[in-house]
Amino acid sequence: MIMTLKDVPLGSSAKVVKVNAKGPMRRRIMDMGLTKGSTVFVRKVAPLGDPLEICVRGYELSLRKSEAEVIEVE
Amino acid sequence: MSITVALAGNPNSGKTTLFNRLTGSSQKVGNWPGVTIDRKEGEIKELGATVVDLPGIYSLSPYSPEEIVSRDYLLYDDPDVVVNIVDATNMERNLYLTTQILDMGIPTVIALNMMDEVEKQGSKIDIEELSRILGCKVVGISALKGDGMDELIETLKSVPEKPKPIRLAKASENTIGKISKVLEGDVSEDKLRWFAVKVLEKDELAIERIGDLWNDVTGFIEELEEADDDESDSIVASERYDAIGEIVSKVLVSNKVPGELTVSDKIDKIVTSKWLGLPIFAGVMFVVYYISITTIGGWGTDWVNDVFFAEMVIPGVESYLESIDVAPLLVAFVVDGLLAGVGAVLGFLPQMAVLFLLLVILEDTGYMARIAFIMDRVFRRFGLSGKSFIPLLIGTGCGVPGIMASRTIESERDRKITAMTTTFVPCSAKLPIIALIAGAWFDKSALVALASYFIGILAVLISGIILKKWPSLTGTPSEFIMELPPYRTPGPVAVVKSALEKVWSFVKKAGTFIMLACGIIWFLSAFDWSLTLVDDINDSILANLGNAVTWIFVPLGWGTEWQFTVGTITGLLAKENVIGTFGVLFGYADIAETGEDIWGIISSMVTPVAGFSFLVFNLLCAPCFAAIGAMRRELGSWKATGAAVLYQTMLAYAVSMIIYQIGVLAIYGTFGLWTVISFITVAVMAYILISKDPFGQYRKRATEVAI
Amino acid sequence: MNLATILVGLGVAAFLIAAAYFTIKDFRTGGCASCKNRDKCSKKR
Repeated sequence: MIMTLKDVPLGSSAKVVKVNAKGPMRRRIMDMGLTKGSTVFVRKVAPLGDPLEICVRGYELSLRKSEAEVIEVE
Repeated sequence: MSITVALAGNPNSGKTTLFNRLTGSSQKVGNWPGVTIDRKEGEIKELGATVVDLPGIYSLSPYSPEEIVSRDYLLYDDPDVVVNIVDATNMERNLYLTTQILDMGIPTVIALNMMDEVEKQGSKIDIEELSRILGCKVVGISALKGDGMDELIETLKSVPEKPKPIRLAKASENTIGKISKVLEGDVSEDKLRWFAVKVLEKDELAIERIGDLWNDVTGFIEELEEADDDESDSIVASERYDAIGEIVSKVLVSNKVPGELTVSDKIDKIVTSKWLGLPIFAGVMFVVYYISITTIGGWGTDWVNDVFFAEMVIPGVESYLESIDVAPLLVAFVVDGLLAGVGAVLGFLPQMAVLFLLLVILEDTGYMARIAFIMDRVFRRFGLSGKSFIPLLIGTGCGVPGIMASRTIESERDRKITAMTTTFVPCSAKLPIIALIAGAWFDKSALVALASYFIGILAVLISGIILKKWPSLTGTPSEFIMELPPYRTPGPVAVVKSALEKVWSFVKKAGTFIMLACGIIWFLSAFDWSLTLVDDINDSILANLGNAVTWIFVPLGWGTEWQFTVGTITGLLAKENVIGTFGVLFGYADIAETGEDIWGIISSMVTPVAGFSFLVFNLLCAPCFAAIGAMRRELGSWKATGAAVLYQTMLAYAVSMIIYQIGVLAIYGTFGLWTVISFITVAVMAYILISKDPFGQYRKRATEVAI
Repeated sequence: MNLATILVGLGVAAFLIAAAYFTIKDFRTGGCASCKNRDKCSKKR
């Protein structure tokens, strides 16, 4: 079962394994620091479940669930 | 000798503040060719150097116009120095761009900004070590406070040497070396490494640039990908960050604890929570308007209207002028025209003042940013992104900066749609209209204000759906990646200062622009075409003009009264004019004599439903000229602007009509031709909303392809 | 037309001219006076 960033529970961390996207979205996600091996901490989830606020490389970021979905973690 | 300095850095790194400090009033704003991005240039007087402010970017990817403009400038325009501004409180993220800039081999100086925040946090940065590792000068500054400016300028006096690029892992560097050999001769020596790395990342623009040589390098790239079991762009990004991580661990002693919930987070857990978020938002807004319109502010407004103006100012001025024998006509002009109009507008000052104060407090705490966060999901259901919400938020103050804020949206389609719909949300000029309607028919209920914002947002969302189906506005939806600053307690001085600024703006506008408009309105309403004074206002020039067009608004319930129509039209100049016009036309000045106040008169002219319909029309229809001008700047042409204004007005008409017709049907059981038309309109709108292709664009495309 | 009327008339006229002056001045600055984002803005006037 592949776990993605959107499955990570609030208040816990995960490590990025792979980014399953192409083109600008892929570039954007990687440029923001979400690369293989980086640790992500899930800080908040907005009402209606979307977007997520995460902490990666000392930096706060908001990501849509659809964007979190393409990021495989462990 | 005049050198050129390129200023590059992340958005929100303080670049603009730094640019302003360096160049002061010598700034010029132009355009980067081919794109609607501002190009800012200025001069550092102390050096006789030209500074070009590149757009804020996180990376030099080939995807967004900002990034493309920046990389092209750095590659081909040959700046002498790059000043890379780095946010010291977010070093890892900021240095990512730095690694790419350093690859370019242009002399670089790093301006490490926000050092004051670093100090506040209790962290320490070893600037010298950082400088040594990066091979270029690093200057610690605080652009906001002005620290380090002199040092920075001193550093620029001698053009620095070329920096050392930040090395990736051995295997990757190996591959880069191989690629470089192939590219030698095709690209200039300075830029060799940069191109080699970009090619390794499979950067489309770089690949395009090297043409056939691409075939010679694919083998090397595949080799690396196999060895690392990852795609090359991911490898490079990863290794850049790994290198950065190492550097940061050597130079930064941080006081922050990652992976822990801060106080802000704990608050946000509730405020942005799944179930409580939206209700809390509605609740907060209700309280704000309850305090400002219904209670405290409302009492103030009542006093100003009923006592200050009605009993003191207006009779006072009137009797004074009469006592010194000023001609009655002039007295009327001053009292019934100028004072009445301006007085009516200023009457709302207490409510506005309280409201401004509360909104400033709300914004300074950082709560407003959360709202965009909360609204993103809702917006996405309707095809827009949370990024489109920020211009709306700004638009609650004034539509002009709100419309301009749509520039931060990358998707051109989303940007245009946002620019067109920003004014649906009530701006501060429309607040008096809301207050007026609330006071005249609804007992100053705060629900009227809430309803106004709700309708505004609804209009934005519906427009999002409708406009996305319009052929010329197709495109891909925006991504949403945003920063949430921590909560803070607002400083009372700053808050009061900010609120007072807004109050002053309000007063100034009333005393100038609105006063002029009221003077003209008075004139047109006091005379008839032969320039004789009229006894009955309904014989005046204005009434004539009003009656000529007011029939258009009869289906909306208020077209029977020409004054309402005239009010709406004067609202095109400034929305406050609606109040001013009413003040003049409804004899605000006669309050003291007749004992009836303006609210009483208006409320007796049309039904509450019509009053609400009037409110909705004025909220949604074409904005004031200043806002229309701003739309023109964002949409690019008068044709597009005209179309946008037309759309807004038509939507306003349709919605107001539907509200009125269905309203009277529900309350009074009135049924007529227009009721039927309203139902048809609702059906048409529903069709456009639901249908996949209401405007026949797919059919058109099919025909084009066939041909 | 007595003196009082003339004086008051002139006063009002002066007031209106000042109002017009400030209004035009404000329009030429593109409405930036009421803007909150002046130090972030590219126009900055």
